Amino acid sequence: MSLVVAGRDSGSAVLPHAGRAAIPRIAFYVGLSLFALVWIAPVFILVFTALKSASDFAHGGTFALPERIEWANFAKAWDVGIRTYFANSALMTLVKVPAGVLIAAMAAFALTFLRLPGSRALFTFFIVGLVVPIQMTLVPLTLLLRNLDLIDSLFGLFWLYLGFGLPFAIMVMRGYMRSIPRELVEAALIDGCSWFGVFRRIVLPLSTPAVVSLLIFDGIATWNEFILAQIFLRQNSNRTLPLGLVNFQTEFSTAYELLAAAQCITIVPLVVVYLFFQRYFVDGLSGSIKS
Amino acid sequence: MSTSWNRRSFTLALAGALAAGVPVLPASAQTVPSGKVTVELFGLVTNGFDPVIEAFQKDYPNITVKWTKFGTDEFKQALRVGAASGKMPDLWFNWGGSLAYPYSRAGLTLDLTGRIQDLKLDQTLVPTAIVLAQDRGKLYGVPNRIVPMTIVYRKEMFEKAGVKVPNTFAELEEACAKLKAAGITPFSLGGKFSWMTMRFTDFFMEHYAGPKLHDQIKAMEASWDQDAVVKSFAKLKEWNDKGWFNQGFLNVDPATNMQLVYQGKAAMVLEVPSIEVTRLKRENIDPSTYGTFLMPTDQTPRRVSGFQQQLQVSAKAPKDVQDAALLFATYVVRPDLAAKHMASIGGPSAARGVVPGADSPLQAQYATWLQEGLQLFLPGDQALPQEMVAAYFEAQDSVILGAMTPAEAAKSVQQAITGFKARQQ
Amino acid sequence: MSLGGADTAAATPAAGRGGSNPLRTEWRIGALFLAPALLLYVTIIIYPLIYSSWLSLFEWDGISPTRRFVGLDNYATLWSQNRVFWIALKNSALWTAVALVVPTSIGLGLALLLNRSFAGRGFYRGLFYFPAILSLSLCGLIWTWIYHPTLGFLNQFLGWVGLESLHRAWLSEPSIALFAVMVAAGWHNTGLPMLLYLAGLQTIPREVLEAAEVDGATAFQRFRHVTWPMLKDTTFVVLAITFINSLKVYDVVYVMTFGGPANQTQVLGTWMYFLTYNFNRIGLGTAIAVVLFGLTLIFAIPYTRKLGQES
Repeated sequence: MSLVVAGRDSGSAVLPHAGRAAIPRIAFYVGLSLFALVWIAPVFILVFTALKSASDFAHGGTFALPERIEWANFAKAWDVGIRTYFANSALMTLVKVPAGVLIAAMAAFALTFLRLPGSRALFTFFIVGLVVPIQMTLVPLTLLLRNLDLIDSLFGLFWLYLGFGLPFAIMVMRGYMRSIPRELVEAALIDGCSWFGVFRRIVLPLSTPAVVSLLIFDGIATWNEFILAQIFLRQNSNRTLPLGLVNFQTEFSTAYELLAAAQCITIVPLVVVYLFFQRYFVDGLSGSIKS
Repeated sequence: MSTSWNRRSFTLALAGALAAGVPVLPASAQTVPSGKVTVELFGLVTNGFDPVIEAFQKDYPNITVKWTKFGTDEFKQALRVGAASGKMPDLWFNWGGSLAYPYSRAGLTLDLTGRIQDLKLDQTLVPTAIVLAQDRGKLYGVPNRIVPMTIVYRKEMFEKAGVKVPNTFAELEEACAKLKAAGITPFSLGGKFSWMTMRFTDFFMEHYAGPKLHDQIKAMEASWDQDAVVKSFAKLKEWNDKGWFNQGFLNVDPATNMQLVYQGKAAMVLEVPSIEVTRLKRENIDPSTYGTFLMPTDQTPRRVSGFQQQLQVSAKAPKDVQDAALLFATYVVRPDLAAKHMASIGGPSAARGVVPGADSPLQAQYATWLQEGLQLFLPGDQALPQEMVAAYFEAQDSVILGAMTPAEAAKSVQQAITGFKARQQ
Repeated sequence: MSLGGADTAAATPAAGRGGSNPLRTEWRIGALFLAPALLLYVTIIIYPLIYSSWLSLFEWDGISPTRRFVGLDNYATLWSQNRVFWIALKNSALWTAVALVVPTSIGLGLALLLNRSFAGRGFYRGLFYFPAILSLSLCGLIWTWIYHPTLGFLNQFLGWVGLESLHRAWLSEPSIALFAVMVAAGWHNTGLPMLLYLAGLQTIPREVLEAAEVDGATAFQRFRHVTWPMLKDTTFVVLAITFINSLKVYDVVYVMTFGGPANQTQVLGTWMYFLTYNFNRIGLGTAIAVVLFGLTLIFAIPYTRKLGQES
């Protein structure tokens, strides 16, 4: 029994009429494509800038065609530091995201299936975290990390990311878990399965769409996170991509073409992940907003 | 030489010092730590310390410099986080004035005042550098670079509009009018962050108030609510309304200010001499097609805005680390090495007798002026406390937008200053 | 342990499963499952939140070792002396109002469009969602470049099609700068509502819509009377998330206008940052943060209550 229904693609709300003329269909495609073109134009401008040479860029401005395509910008941006930042971001994302989702799933499981006094209040308490402006926590967190000697350490930042990711993750996981029939859990318990077994063998596998969409959401958020990294990381060798990009921007303050190339490199993993897992997005979220 | 230079006198007696030639003076008077020492150094990505560190570590193999580079805002923040969390680096880059004194006044920076003679700073550095670095008459760092503001213009644009290099304020305005008439925007600037616009406001204030009063205004000793300030704001508005700045400059990134000049749409920028390296040369422009001239203030002495860059040592670091840090700070400007180091950290150097080569005509020209006794005043964003800088910027930009009259703007800054002073007590 | 809790536990079949005191066991197991999340959450969000609120009662520059207790003075200063605070408050309100309507409507429209079945649907979904996976600050950088008054794509494009009269200094004119930033933010913020609405549309049974169609309802009527009411919960989630994120907005404004010109585009998030980190006024900055937090609770309380009640 899987909640990822492959057949959903055909389950659209409005079916095209068989007898409908081809013209509206073409008009539909043309209209949609034009809108899509405008929508995505900023990304083209970015890529376009990344392909210009320094002097082309300085003399010609944005709109002018480059004299030659400067693929070397990417290699150059990679070599002057993006490589390190990329590795740090990748490490952080790969370790933090699954850990965060697991912790959130455990909490959501307890809040959904276990009969705990005050579990509703506790859930509300967790959700408050969605509202806290991150800047508000920075000064106390600085003092906290100082005391733990975790300033300028990816390990220290790891804990902060875990904490800040929890409210959203718990909300989504709990939302999805509520769509899992209680009877399944109860039946398993009667069969002698432990609570931990229920979590691991039944609830977690059934929550796959939510887990996957969370992995993607949280992955993107972690990959893009800037404020905390900016405050708590220092050394070049520790920096993550968004932070590295800013310093990169200062170092090559005028080298918009290199900056654009660096930005393109930042985006690539997001695109790949997104394309690969796209269909889970919608499925995973649908559970969390149903009532 | 006395250490009690008045911050406001800023006398630059370079000529004599330079004529005397380079004193041969290794840092032998300093304590070199004997054991293995690691010095943590914070600075800007644009500092260019990498080759200096490499050479230093070769000369002192027992010392390791752990070098961390930041973007400008990130750097300011890293120092603040360091101060708030009690984790300052052992050695850090800094500007002067209000960007540096929060740290010295919190007791975080090593006071070098008593060591000026024994470190021979008075003999190896140009006096202006030391004056600009001081806070309340005390020295908390070793300056390594002086950064003056200069007008850089594209010769071709001047020829096209039939403009000669102006020598008075009136001539400068005349030149701007001619350029504008020829369809060329006189000045290209990036007003986002407000400090590039401030260079003009500062210049007008120097022109209208004269050196003495201008310094008093910036030191918050004289009221801002006075004629010279109002006139400066009014002049800024006038230049803006005449179209002498590029369209929509208020939120343009300063880093994009050269493109308009390259494209022949603008003629001048008010910049630091090192753009010769960071911009022109990098973007395949022959620097000899550009010229430079001093801001014509019509005042005597004719001063331009400028600041120094220094290295400060932590007052909290262990003794041997402090020694090593200080050794590096002086190494950057050591007389026998300063010229070599300037190639990477940029000019003009704070060390005496260092002049850029002929392949850098703009920087060489500036060094010559400095040698001839050019005087500097601190730019507004270092002369005023940071919070007052905000009030200054807001007033200035509001005038340009027409949201405040020049008189209202002058009043608003004074109001902020009054509130600030009241809070300090 | 509350009696109410015991009652609910007794009502479940699971509680009847052997064991001497199933409720106690369940409680222990629950604590075990919850412990990591709770520990992290309290240390990293709740404790700093409380400590920070406490700091808003002090005058402190964040650097010097001493700080001075001033009670509610910082709040009084905000109220009566900090002109920019009011600009920021007004801008945040405007921002929130626009964000609640525009990107959400576009998101809904796109969701309806992309819920139809046609070849290449997945591609278009991906394309329209794409800006949402970029960081907001990167979106800001891209759009800043597009808006550049002389070198940017927008003005150059307008010139190219002969509409030079529409040239603007998009980010330098206070009357349009904030809206220009909103466009960039909207470009990023449309993806999530679109996605949520797509998810919401899937929960609507196809039979209901087909029945309405058979009854002769027009497309608009079907939307008005069937789809829209059934998307009520989704809309609530979308609006809540939008409201919370709008008040917290910070990076895109910081990157694009730096709060300028002349602080005319400051929002609460940026002004808090400037006071805390640029002007060294920790107390005043955290006071804004507390105000911001309070405002967010206006929506957050019914939101969390609703989420809580559904179980």
